[in-house]
Amino acid sequence: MDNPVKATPLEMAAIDVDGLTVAELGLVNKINLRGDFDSHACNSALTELLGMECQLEANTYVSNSASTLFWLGPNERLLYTDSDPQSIAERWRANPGTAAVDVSDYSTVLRLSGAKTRAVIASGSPFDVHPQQFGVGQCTQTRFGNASVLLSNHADTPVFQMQVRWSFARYAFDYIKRVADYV
Amino acid sequence: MFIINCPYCGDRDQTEFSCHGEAHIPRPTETKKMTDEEWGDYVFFRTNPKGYHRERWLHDHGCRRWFNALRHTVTDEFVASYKVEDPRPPIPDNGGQS
Amino acid sequence: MTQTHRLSEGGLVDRSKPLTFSFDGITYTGYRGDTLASALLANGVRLLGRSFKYHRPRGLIAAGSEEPNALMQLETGPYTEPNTRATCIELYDGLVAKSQNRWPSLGFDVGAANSLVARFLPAGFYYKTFMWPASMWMTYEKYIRKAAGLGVSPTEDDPDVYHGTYAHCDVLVIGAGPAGLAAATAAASGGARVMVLDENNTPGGALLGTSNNAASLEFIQRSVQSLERNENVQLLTRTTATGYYDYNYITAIEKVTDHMGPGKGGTAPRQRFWKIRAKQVVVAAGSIERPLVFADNDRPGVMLANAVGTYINRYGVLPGNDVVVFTNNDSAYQVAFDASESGGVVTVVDTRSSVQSSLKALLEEKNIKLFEGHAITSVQGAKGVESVRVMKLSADGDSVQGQAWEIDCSVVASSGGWTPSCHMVSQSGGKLKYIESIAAFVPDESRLKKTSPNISAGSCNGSFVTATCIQQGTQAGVDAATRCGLHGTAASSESFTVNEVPLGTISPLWLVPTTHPVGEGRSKHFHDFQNDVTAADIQLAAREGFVSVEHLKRYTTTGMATDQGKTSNLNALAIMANIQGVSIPEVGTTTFRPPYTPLTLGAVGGQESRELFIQERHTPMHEWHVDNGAEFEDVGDWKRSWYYPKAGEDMHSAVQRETLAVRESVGMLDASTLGKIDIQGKDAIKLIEMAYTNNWQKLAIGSCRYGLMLNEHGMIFDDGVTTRLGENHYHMTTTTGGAARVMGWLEEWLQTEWPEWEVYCTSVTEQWAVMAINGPKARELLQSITDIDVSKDAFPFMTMREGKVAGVPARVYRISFTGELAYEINVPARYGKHLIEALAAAGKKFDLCPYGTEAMHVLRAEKGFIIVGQDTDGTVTPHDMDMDWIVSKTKEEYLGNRSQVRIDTQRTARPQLIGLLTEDPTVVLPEGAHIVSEVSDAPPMPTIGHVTSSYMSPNAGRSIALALLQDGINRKGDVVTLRLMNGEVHRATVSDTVFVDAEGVRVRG
Repeated sequence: MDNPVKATPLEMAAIDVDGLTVAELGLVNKINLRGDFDSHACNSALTELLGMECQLEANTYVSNSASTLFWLGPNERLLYTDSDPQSIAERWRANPGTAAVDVSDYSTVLRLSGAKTRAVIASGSPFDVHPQQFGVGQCTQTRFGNASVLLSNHADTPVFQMQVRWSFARYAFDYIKRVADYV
Repeated sequence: MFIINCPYCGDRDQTEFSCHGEAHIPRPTETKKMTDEEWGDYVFFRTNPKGYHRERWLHDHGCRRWFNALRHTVTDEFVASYKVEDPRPPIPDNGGQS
Repeated sequence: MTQTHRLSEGGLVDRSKPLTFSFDGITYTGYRGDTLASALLANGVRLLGRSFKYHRPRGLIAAGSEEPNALMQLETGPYTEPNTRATCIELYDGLVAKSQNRWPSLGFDVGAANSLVARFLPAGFYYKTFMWPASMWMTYEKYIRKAAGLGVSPTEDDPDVYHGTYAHCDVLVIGAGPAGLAAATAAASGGARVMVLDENNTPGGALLGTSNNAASLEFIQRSVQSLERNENVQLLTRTTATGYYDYNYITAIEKVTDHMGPGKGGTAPRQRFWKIRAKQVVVAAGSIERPLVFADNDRPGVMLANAVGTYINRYGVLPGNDVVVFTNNDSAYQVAFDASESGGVVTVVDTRSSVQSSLKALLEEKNIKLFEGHAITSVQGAKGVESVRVMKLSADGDSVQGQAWEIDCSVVASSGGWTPSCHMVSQSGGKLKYIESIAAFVPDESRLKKTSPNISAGSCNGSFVTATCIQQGTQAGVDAATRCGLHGTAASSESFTVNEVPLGTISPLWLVPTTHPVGEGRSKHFHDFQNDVTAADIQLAAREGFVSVEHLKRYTTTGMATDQGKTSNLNALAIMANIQGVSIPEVGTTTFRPPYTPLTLGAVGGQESRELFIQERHTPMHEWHVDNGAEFEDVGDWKRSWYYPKAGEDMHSAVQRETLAVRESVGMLDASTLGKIDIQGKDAIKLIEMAYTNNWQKLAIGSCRYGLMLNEHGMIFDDGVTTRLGENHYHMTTTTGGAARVMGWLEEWLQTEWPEWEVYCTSVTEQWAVMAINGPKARELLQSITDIDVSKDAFPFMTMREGKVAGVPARVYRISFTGELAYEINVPARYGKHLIEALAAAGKKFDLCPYGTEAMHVLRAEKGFIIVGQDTDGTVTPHDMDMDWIVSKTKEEYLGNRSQVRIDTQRTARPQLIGLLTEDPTVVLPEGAHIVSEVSDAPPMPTIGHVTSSYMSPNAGRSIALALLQDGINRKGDVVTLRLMNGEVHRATVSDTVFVDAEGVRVRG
């Protein structure tokens, strides 16, 4: 019991086929942050907390070496962080009218890259991921098959991330694996 | 299959959304003073217009925000979608023909 | 002798690639580039099927997807597919096809006797004859289906895989004929994202069926090359647009590997289903030639004129040496020329009395005989055309007169004009308009549906000259791009010679007369070949009052089945218009419905089949359950452990053992699937007070409380335990199936009704892995692996403690769904596997028993705990559940409050939850069994309630049940009667709902 086993839903499963590489990112600290992000005070408090500019357009993300902050909704942000999620959550909650929840294990993150990436996503999602519509720095919540996912574009090569709930992870992974042969 | 404009996320496929019926029906405040008939009106009865309809939508697979939309129930044309706190957009005066 | 009808040269088939195939057990050869239809025709096979109703011999009518007759049972075993059109099957080596709807053989068909009793099989026959008495329909149906069926479905699993995908574009072009290619080229030139679909295996459309096509082929090649070079363009062949839905959502099916033969596609999917969203659509779907409706026009060998032309020009097959072209317009003259050029002996019968002199001169030059103002009045030859009789038409076209000429022939190429393919535009909601000069409907650009903008170009828009089609296509492409905010350019206009004769002056003759009135005598005038519907049937429908076009369709079945009336609809409308003496637009058209051509359900499902059909949700401990032999139960989308059978155990004995173990030692259950919602904010308490029926104001930090949620109808819709974590911080749990519903419910109220409240709800269902340990030894077990003081006083019932369990951070809730001493251990999901393994190891000395949902159900029923959705069904109030104790009498308001005092919810005879103890304690009542007030031999019997939960309880030592019974709370002690579906009758005593530990001592132990 001194060395408890930590698991991810996919046990770091991977796909490596012609034109598509998929990897599970492993444990990622995630915090759901709430507040009135239409207000200047709220944004500057977050900017100060994270040490990067946190004013976000809808369906975009911003990142630095330690953090990535995603827009989820007008009063909702999601933070990936290398820091201790509990302490960040506590510091954020010190601001009036806010909330923070550690959701590190609520979901897992898949990294998709390779030439087939967009075609694989298009197989399950009605969201248009064409480079003209969905460039680097953009993110969106949408549907992949029957799973709700958070998609983000990280490089033109392309590199996408797909965040999916723990209990849907196997389904989404199997879905990707199946269509990888078809596109 | 519609394209629906989420006031927060923009145009999205209908399958990201769910529809929740007529909008702008506030919950009565002093419910205990209401007659069965008045309460029944609130709980059970909705308009069912052939024409423009203000209705509630939820961007389920997206930003999870509720919003309202003005849709024509025959042509399925979405005239406008608007946030819960926004003023109601006017109903077009063409009688709904498109 | 093979390929008797193959011309010595010409066509687009590859003569260096012979292919072998079989039809009805006989082996033939064809060439790569053939369709099954052209290959059969090349081999002189004319008889391809029997008709649907009269079992009349039928052959090919068309060369494209409009073919109504030549339906094939393609391939065998798991790969077999019924009702495939021979004209759409690309020939591959080893192809096996069979004709359909014939017994015992195509040549000799017993059902053909139907033809002799045809006067007893009029339209509406089934409705009139077999629907009475209604109970006999079941008996008639199986014989009728057998006699009048189409192909047969495979009985094995489909070995193929399918792919579905979404796609987006600025401009979607439907059809890659001259208009479509021009439109795509123009739209793409402005930078638009363009998709082009064509059902053929190669682009080109009608050009592929024209003669001297070097210039045409060059145009096609040039266009395709420029489109393929453009990375913004996707050109899909073998792809049919099947449906056109709101907001320019178009579905299409791509036949990816069908042309290779079954099982030959490697890892590629057999078919792909495209779900396309286009900003603009250019419809360039072409047109379909209409057959003339004349006596016995269904004999094998009577074909559409352009089909004859296409078989000659594209496939190098002359369907027969003696060809009669029967037409009411100029376009079919090209077919006469092509057939003559190919060595055929050709006669033209034109219904018009004056044919233009330039055409006459050409006929003379080629030695083709012309009958002007004449019509075919009969067709001889039972299994194939042998000759036709031709007579002069009266001036009004209603009758024939004079000398009858008999012309020996094997092929009749008929043309009644062209019907633009408006299917897509009609499906999109666009309206059509009738154009006299072409005697057909085209899309009315002023009455399209605003939400589905499209432009029609080419022959689907009524233009039947290639140059005009290209011109229209180019303009449509430019316009579509412009509407997308881009600038398409019209390339220098394409100009090349196509061997085609324009439509000229069409003289509609919707129903060709013969020597006796239509419907009398033995000859039939078919307008719908697939459904075996004749002009006489339309007359009958009119006599019986089915004059509306929608009634006409359903009464006669015109336009139904796999071809959806592609060749028949307009003829039917026009015949009805003539009968009624009104114009064709006054009769109107039926709305075209998807799919345009039949498609496989496999393709529609795509990859979302088998284990991807519905998502399977797994908990972090799933693998442990699998490793420990669990059987699983579907709960919502979740796979939950149902029970853990040991060697030799059946379900019953495993569940009884698990149930006993929980009350005797300790059991563990994976409870991770329960919904969990984190609620924060200064107004959190206001939300909780509104959502639940009981009082929450005084709940201390670290304490838990059970709550019931009602909808505004006052009916129970969820329950669960909520814990106060901090000053303004709560952790709510919901039922497994209700998790998303409750989250949505709270958000709905917060966002739409109380946006000013400061409350944030976050789903944390999967954040936590949860193990529930229940039983008298639960405390000892827990204490052995935690640093939390779990003594009775330090950790009372209905409280929560934080600490380490098995070395990892945990929240432990002392709550119970079994009535036993119990703890629910929550750890971050990453430690779920670790936790269950640590519990299993530590539990050995406490006789720990893993149990599943079935034992959980028995345990909770022993205590009378309800399961929302099993003991409730959306029509029961807390009072109906005998749960008045949880409804606050003091608080001002909560959701569903006012409905508790409606007249209906207060009436006395409502079904209420009670316990049932059967007279025979070994009888376990089936759930759903009805409590009746009187027993009779057969239903109906007045029912006064039903069983909601029923189990054999090892702890009560007998069977127990929960039931909803009218006025049940007042009837405890009464004996009631249950009558089962199998006729058994049981008596049971109405009891309290708690069967074990009624005082509730154990849970507080």
